[in-house]
Amino acid sequence: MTNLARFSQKYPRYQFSSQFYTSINDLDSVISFFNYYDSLFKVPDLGCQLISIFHNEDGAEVGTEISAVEPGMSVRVSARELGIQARGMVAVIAVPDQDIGSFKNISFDIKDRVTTGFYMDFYDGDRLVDTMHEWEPVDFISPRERVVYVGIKYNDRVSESGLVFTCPTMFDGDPGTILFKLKNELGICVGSAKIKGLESMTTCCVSYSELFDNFGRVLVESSILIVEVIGRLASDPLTYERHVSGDFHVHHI
Amino acid sequence: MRHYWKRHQPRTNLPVFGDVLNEVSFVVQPERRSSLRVLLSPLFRFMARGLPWKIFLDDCRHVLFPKPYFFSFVYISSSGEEYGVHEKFGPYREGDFFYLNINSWMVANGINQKEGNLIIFANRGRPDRWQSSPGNVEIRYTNQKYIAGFRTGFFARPLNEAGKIHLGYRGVNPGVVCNAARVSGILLINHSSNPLYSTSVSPVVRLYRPDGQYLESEFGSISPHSFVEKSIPQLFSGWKEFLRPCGGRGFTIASLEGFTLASMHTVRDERGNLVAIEHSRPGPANVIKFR
Repeated sequence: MTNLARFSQKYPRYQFSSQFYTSINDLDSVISFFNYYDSLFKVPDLGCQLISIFHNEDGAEVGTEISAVEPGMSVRVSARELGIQARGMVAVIAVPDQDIGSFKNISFDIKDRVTTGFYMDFYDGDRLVDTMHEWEPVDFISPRERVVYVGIKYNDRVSESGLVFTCPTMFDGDPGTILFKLKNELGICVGSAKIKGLESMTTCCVSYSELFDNFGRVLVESSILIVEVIGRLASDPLTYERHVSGDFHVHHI
Repeated sequence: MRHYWKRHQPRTNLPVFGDVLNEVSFVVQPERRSSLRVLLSPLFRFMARGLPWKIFLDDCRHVLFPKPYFFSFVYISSSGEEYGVHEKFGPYREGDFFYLNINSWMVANGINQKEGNLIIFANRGRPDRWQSSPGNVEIRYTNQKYIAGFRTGFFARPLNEAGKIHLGYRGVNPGVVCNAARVSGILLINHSSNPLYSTSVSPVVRLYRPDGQYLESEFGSISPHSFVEKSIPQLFSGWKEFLRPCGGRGFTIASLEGFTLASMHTVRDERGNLVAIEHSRPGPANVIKFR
């Protein structure tokens, strides 16, 4: 049994939140989390455990870290400091030290499955490059087919752009294919491509230039392009853009 | 400020910086109109939350006959000048891409105040929930060296206006970094759902070390519908010695009584260039079941 399955079973009230991370060569990804449970439940001594499970692109677990977080304090979890040389998806939950279902004096209803809010900071060496909050929760269902649109605007400072797909769900079955249609502002299809769909807990990074041979030319010609993504997507893709200087920016859509 | 937006229209605040290219965009995602759950959702919310009849009827109308999206905005410069746009950008339907180059718009309109708050608003939210966010809007910042930005939703709920009582605001940045190459900052927006909102606010910020010790500083006044960004060194003169034992890392808590704020975490390089930015997220949203 994987750690993700084990902890999901052990803490059924809590649902892992996920995010893309990269920790290859000098790149690092650092989770930062603040324990907000004590102020939310008005229990001053309510500490928690932050459980971070790192998966590589193939969905295999490559590291698990359990950090104790005192009430009202924050913690940082660095993939590089854990010795991880991979990129993929990290699943994170913060589990309070006490059963939150036993608290009587709260003025709100608790969600059926409590997720965890955190931030992911991307570093190149010691220099922070980008920052983003957590993304989709980890589920147990087979992803359904759906459509997502991504807009692209030409910018002469951007040397490369693309999408990061993560599959934050534990399922067995056919992941199908992901179909891409590249359209100009008039809605005319100027390119298409497809890739294999994502299996459970895997990650896939694709650049538009890899997908569409004519991408660079049509982007300059059209200035605005829209990518229609059709497939069994467990999560909306993230976009990534690389500056000509080497700086990069990753974000949810 | 004049009544640029109506109360039900979802809106969001986007900081505009003077030393970067500021680009705003929005892609209309597929709308879930066909399922029974979506069709019945206005009735469910009406019964569960006791919403006013008008909102219920508007929700029903938009589920059955959704209008395309239109966008408009007002720009409040850092010195308080107001530049409203009377034009509506649209219509935008599923798969359409709204794009706005703020720098070009400023040049075309003779606006010299290059830093300020852009309040962008849509004519409606999702068809099954008229006062919700229609999706995520992006602002992308680029200069000679860096690319940064964030995406965030729109909000139509009452904020900082009469009839809405806020206990206060607490914004946490758990990943503060201060070293020779990077400096974290706090950007706070004194927003409101009421265009006539006229209250300035003055939050307090604490800079914590992992051992629990902290420094405290007044953030300074933020004008209505405006933002102020301050770096850790600007807020805490003794930051270097304070954070030295923990390698320049810590976390901040900004707080304010009686009002709510929107906040961003910024990171700039040693020359003040924007490297990264992200909006903060309310921790309670992970725990509380909102109806």
